Amino acid sequence: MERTEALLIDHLREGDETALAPLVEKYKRMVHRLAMQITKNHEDANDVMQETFIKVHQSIHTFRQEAAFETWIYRITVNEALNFVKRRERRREIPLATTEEAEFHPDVRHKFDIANDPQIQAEKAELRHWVTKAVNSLSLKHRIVVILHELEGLTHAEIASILNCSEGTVRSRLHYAWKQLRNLLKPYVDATKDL
Amino acid sequence: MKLTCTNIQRFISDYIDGALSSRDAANIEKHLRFCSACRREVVAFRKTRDLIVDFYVEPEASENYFHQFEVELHRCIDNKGPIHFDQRIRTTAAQFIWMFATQVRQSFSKYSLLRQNALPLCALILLIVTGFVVPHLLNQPPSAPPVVFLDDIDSGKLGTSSELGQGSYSERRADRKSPSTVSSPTSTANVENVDYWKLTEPVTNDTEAYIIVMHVSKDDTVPGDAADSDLTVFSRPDILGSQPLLQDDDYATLPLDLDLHDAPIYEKYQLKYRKLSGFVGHLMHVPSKLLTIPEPYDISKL
Repeated sequence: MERTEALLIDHLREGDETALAPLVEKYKRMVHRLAMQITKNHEDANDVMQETFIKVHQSIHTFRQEAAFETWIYRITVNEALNFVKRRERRREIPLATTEEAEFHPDVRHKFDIANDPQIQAEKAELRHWVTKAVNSLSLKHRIVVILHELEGLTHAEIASILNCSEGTVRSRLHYAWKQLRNLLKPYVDATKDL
Repeated sequence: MKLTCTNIQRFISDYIDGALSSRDAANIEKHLRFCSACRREVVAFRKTRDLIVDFYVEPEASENYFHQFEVELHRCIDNKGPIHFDQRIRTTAAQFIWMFATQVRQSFSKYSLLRQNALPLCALILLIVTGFVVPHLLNQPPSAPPVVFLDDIDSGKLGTSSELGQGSYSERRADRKSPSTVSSPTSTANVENVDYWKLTEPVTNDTEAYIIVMHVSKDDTVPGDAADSDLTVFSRPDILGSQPLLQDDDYATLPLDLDLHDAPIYEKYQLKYRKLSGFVGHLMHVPSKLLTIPEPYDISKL
């Protein structure tokens, strides 16, 4: 019989180890995606995933039902990923998450219509490359709010709760990030049809 | 909300998300009707967002990756061990203290503190006492390791690796029951069918390692449980080499500490036993990559 999430959480709290697997199954992709987006490193993302679920397993008794379990996992993942990035920066083994603006030159020589161009697949691939690169070139704190808000669909309040900051700070970071992204993707933004 | 061109940008995200109140949204729309600069800003913002949502490539991983991750995660969690009873008591005590403190804070100004909280106070003291006493009782040193018959070793019957040959091992093997008669872990009736288990350290050129053959006694309730088993014979793996003996499905690797390299085997065994809660607990965490058998290690065979 399938157990609901609340029931799984209760069972895990009571020491039922089998309750962890369905929770891992449900959230592993989300955790992996977020970990990868923050650490930008497969190895670190894997460690972040592992630490996240170990923490879920060990700290489930500290989880209070009034908060959404998903938000709680988001918070753990973000914190773990940030810790990894900080540790990595301290070790300086891998270059810091650099702003790649200097090498960011999407060379769009002519305007194009995304919908009707015959070389649509190639252009889409190119667009995916530059858009992904633009998001990854944001600083960590700006990248996180963009990912959580636009890609994970969290509200400002939820992001503020995860990052332990005010909603105003989230709005401000998001605004700055959009300005950055707009500048980085200006050729593509200008090239797309008006809405 | 009074909007000007300079502060409207802060609300663009909320406006596009539809997160503003109808009144604020109407105000923005009113402003946009007369301000082409802000209108362009909103359009550009929307286009940028659509680009990100439509074309950002999210990192993905294969099912195989997640499968391996889950296996590794459960191994990690198993190695860390379940949450012990004493930890649970401490956690419960901590939660109780928090509830108690909240109650105290709420009732402090209204009631007599002691009379009002006499019952939870007693329960709290009881929990704290059990939280410290029970773990102490649980942390008692493990009982002595199972008896090891070293007669053969001491008398030199087994001797050194050069003296240990296939013949002596084959004699043991001949007594062994067929692997098909190995009982399941839940079964106790067929325990006697389990003859012995063989554990070995991965064979390397520079590491001395031992095959430990364990005999499971008839009254053993958990097949393969070292606590009820006898270490009846051991042998160096180098004499076995690539013999098909290690291909059987009832072999597993048991890594021994390298720093105990020169210690006599019995001391190694004792030290190993003290460190672990038992061989079974350790066996279940043997990484499959260390196994010298071709098939995955089947715990149910224990």
